[in-house]
Amino acid sequence: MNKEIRIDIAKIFNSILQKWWIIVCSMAAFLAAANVYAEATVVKTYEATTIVFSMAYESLSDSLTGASALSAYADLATSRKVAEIALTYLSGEYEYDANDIKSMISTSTTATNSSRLSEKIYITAKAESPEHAVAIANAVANAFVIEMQSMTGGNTVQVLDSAQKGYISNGNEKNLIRVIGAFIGMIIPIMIIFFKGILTDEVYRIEDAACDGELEILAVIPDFDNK
Amino acid sequence: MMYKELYRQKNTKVTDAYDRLAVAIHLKNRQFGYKTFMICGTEPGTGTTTTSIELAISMANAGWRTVLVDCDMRKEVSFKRLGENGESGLYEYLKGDISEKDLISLTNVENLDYISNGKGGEEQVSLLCSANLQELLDNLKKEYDYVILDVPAFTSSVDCSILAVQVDAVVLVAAQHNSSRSTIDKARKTFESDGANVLGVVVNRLDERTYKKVISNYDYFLKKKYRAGAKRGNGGKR
Repeated sequence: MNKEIRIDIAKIFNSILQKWWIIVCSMAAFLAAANVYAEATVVKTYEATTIVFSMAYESLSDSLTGASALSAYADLATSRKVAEIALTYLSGEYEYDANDIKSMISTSTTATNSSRLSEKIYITAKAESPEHAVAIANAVANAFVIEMQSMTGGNTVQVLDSAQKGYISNGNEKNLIRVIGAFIGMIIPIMIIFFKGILTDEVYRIEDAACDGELEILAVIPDFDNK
Repeated sequence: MMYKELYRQKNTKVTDAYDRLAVAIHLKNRQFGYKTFMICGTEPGTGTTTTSIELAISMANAGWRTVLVDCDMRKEVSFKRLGENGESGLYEYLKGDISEKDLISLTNVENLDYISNGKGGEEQVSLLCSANLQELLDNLKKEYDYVILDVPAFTSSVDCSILAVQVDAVVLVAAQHNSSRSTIDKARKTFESDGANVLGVVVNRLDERTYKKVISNYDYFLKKKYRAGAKRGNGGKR
């Protein structure tokens, strides 16, 4: 038997409006759960950045060579070899190995043109404390400079700005989890009300009681308060 | 003769709605000559008894001699709105224990009489199928302008099906958010296939917002300026 499903958008919208408090409660519950989840799973991470640059004051060809080398070998900063050199700059209080250091480092460059006379790259370290992030960024930058100098045979690559302070790098991650939690908390009751509204058989409108015009509506009796 | 006190709802907007129902039924009477009406809820809790009482009072207030018959002989008296312990009524009459004269109660509402369901017991089906009931209905039709039968809900017992074919018309009572469309349709089809005459449906317990949409000027004559000098019949109102 084919069962007709009638969708009354106004009715469903009214149902959603009437049950706003369920939606608000659900949002609050999911937000709280998301907050607990975010606090429990997302570890606060800090990042610090050291800037390395290349420039030669005396020779134009040295400047071009140094800048292009820095641009070409920027990824060297994330190598295991540089990480091992960086470990020698870190004191014994940092219990990291070369692989840890390697995974904490990322680089970015401003290079857009190979004929530039100067170049700089940003070496960023991420760690669970701001002090560690600063120390690792500076250690890796120093190790990278040493490695570049040994490769190019010159001293055009230098540390420009050492990292001074660590900043929270994943503050938005927790907020994102909270927003997603609240959104899920809002959408679930709305979907339940929506599908209930589609599938329900209850008399909502007066015409619903008329059995598709088979019955005459003799009267409608309001449910006013008895006053 | 016994005496029963009946009271209307205080809210004049609600009683006005019942007046509209009384008018609708009266017009059916004028059109088709219907005098006996069975008020039947599609499901329990739709407000059938309240509708029956209010309708009966509205008709009596309009000047029509009306009798309200409580045909729910299954429910314990303590759960009934009008029942009283030890009161004889329809059950005893159908069993032949009391006469028609002892069956009818006067009420505080002019033109309105009342027949209680009685003490109740077993054999409701056989009693409702007995010739005594049809004879009673025939007599009541002669004596009163309107006979209102308050019966158990369609889904709760077979009593309504037995009574439906013995009255002139069946009025279904459905409640917003309480009744289902499929049950209303099933009740209609069942009664009609049994040979009963389903007059229509009363939609009860309508929320205020929907009601205001349907009866936009429902409170027009309830405004202070119109009520100040108005004198309304107060029969049955407390």
